[in-house]
Amino acid sequence: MTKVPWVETLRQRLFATWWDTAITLVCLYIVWRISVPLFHWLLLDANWSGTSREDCKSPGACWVFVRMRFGQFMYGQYPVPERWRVDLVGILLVMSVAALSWRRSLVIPALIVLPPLGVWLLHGGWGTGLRVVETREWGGLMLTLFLAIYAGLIAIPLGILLALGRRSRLPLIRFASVVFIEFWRGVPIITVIFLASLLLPLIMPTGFDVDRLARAVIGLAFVIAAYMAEAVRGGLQALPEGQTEAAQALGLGYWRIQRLIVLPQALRIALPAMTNEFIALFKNTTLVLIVSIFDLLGIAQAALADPAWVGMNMEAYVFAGAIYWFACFGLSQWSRLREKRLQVAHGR
Amino acid sequence: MRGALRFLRDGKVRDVLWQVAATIGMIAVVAFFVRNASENMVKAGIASGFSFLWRDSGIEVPFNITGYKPSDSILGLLWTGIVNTLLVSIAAIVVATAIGFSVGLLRLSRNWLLSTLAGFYIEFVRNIPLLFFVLFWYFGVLAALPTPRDSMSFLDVAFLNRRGLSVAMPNDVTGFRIALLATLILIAIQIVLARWAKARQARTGQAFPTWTAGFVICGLLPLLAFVAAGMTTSWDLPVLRGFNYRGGFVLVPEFVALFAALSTYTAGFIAEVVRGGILSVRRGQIDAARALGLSPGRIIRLVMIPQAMPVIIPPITSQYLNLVKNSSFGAAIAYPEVVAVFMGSALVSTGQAIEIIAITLAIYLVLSLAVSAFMNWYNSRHRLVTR
Amino acid sequence: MKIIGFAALAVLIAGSAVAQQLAPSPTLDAVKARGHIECGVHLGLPGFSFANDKGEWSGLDVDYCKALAAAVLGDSTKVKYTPTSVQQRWPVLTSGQVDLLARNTTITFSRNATLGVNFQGINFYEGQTFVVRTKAKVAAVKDLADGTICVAAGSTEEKAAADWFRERNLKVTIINFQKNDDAISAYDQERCDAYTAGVGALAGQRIKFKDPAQHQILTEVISNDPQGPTTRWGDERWQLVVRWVLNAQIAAEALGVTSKNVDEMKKSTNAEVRRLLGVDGKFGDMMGISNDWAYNLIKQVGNYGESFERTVGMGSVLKLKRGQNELWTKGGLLFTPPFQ
Repeated sequence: MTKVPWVETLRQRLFATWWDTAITLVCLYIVWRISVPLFHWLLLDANWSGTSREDCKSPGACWVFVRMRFGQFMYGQYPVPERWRVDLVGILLVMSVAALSWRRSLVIPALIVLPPLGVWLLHGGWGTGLRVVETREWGGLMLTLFLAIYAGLIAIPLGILLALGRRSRLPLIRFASVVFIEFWRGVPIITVIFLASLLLPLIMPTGFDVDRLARAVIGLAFVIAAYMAEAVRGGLQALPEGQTEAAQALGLGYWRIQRLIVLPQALRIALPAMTNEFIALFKNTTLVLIVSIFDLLGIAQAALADPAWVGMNMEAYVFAGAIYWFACFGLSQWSRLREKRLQVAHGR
Repeated sequence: MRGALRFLRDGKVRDVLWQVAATIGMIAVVAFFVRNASENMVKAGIASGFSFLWRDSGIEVPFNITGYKPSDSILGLLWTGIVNTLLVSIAAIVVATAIGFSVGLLRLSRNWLLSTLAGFYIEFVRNIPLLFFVLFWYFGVLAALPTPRDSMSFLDVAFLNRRGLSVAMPNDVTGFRIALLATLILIAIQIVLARWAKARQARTGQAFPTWTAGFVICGLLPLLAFVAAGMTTSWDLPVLRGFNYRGGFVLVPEFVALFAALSTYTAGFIAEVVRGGILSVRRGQIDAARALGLSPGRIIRLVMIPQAMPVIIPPITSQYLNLVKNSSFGAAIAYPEVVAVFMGSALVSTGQAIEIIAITLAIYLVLSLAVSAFMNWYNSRHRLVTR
Repeated sequence: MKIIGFAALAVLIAGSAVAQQLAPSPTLDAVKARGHIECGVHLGLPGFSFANDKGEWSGLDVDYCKALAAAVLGDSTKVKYTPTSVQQRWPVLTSGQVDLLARNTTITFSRNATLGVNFQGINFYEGQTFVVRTKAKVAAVKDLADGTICVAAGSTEEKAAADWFRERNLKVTIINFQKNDDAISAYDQERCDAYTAGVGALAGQRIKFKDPAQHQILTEVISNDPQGPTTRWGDERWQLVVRWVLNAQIAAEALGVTSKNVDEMKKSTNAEVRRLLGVDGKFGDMMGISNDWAYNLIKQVGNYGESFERTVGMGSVLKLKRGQNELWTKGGLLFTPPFQ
């Protein structure tokens, strides 16, 4: 009897023993029972064309709802004639990420120039001649991305400083960093968002109003900075002590040692962990909906409250959930790839 | 002038200066916020202080085991919220650990289909915001359950419907208290027995059927005690009156949904931790165990788990902490935990935002510190002794 | 501030007032400088404050905000709306993020006494009732005994319902949701036997149910919930403007001034109409806004009756009767002090 290679592999992996065969068959049955109705609902029996709820006649999903609301899911209440600005910022984002992975030296200038440019374009006014679009009109996926990216931009440098602070020689600095990190890691994000939205206006001087969205960004950034700090600390701890000692022997000062020797290596090691924290941040942006900021999930819920589209819960959640899933999955796969490359580079 | 500069060059002096500057800066920032807050509150006419805690709350809590009534104080309301947070957290931690370990082990299964399915589960759960799960379970579970009139009945002592699971409760709990006490004593005996058996095995090499013996004295005897207690008391049976089942104990769907969401979500993270921990056990250890002729179950229990534990415990601790904090998502589906009853209801009725937020944060910080302290203690006890 | 008040009085008594001395009003100054009013509204309550899919707001409370903008800035479109949840409304108001709340908020003693807010009159007399499924066969509120009720946490409805049943020794289970919409969808999923809110609010929220025809709003009302524009403590002149813009809406209806006839009414011989429309009396100057303030708001938004019909009355999907919200002259409770 000749053995066909792939049949043999299949036999070993699925039908090695009677017990394995039974498990495989049970699993196959479950998969079949779940995936067939799902496939029908999602695609085969779904409604694609039309303009209203009445056009959804077949039993599957009513994607008409998502199609009609697509603009809102993406941009919230951002005025339609101005939406090109959001697209432009998106294109700039993609291009700058591509440019940065090509040339590392541009990172610092890009970080100084691009974030304000993004806010400037999105908000308008301030001498651009563009119509002012206030943050209360922002919403949907664009707002989710904005929250995650800007909170991340604050959290990463802050987290690095905190991690350095936690390993500092100076007891007071170390103490302050530990307190900051443990405080923000110890409380639920939902309370932090409440804190930022209710307390921040109270502790600011009268007449100094912090924008609602900015408050949410600050709240999220503090929490994620604390988690980032722990991720960076992991990287710092993985570095052999000799690196710092050698640099000290060369007569380098504290900040130069950190900037030139320690951080470049530590951050490379900490990158996968930091990416995971960023994914957590991205998922947690959904909580801003409790303070009436309409991110992707919030806009989906608001769309559900529309009397013209009652009962579209599954469609709204599946669509929004799929966006989150693909974004988070993509990021985590990228981070795993980096991790593997890192291991290869270290010869492990 | 030059002397002063040289003085600044001195490392120790500079360290002190740095710290003094940082301290002054932090105190200044905090003082600035406190001053603004007190000024703003006086100007806005918002009441302050903690006396509101002893006021009548007047807030209904549909699910409590503390015996709380709306005529109780806000402090009582807070306590009920804390108990509910702990209740759902502990239940979810137990189940999330069980699912997490199973999925983590299945992920390493030789069966390709099984490990792929486990992988699907992990990747699905980890990449979707928890809020989706909470809402999905809540509205999904509600939609799947029957209305009270068409309740599912279990032998007429438990009824399941959209208002929750109503279970019969004993009117007299003395018998159960005794049975519970007996159980605790038997468990203590079992622990002593296990120690003795271990010592004996180390001394003589003879194994003692600890588990079988333990099951007989720890499992069957208390079971009989409970049955006896159940026979002697009368029962408060749930009865359909008007709209709902009245009487007995009601497990509300909010609890079930939050519990299900937290345990399935956290299980995905625990599974990854477990997989990583088991992969960290050296291949040779398992091969050696196999060569000694140990059964697969014993290899897992005696070789793999003990060696994987030190790797698993630290990350699993932070997952438990996350779960406790994530129980605050219950606020989104009206589960009366701390955030919902205190930061929600009590805050609106008293308007004292600063005090209420401070208390809530303090509670979570204490919970977090308690969990990590416990885990540190556990970790130090079970650290692998390496040579 | 008192000193300035006395000074103003002294100036008036001396009879040498050329330009009137006004108490400072930071809110009014801020509104004028910024060019729009920041109005805190409900997250979405059809008939009262509701944004359509283009983000345009409409409703009775929204109309009030528009009237205020017309009076203060001469243009009813110069309003920006901040949707607020039940929890957020007080901090949003007291921290100065909005100039006022017009969001279906019941006036109560403890809110007035401890939250640092003031209520500036009543623009809607609401009464709390329940919505139930028709198949449940509930005729009166007491039939809900042993039932489960969904409600928004921190609302007056939560406490009023609990009090009502407790007073009668009836047992109900009350489930508190953080947002009205969550409570509504839970009720719609049959988590509860009833959802409770005001009669007017229910008329609007009813259209959010999957099948509105299968639900019935009880006619029995268990509490009165007067609602109106709400300001924070301090800045009395701003409170004055907020209060009298509402009074002007009501007075205009009582005096028969509508958005259609307001131009002709300027020639009216009725002294109160002439003072209201700024022909005589310079009432606007006294508040620090233009004298044609009431003319503008009536012209652009209409009187109270017009606003009511358009947003919650027979001309709307809610189809509410005037009831208590009728003028005092016609058997209702709506009342305004005279413009004298």
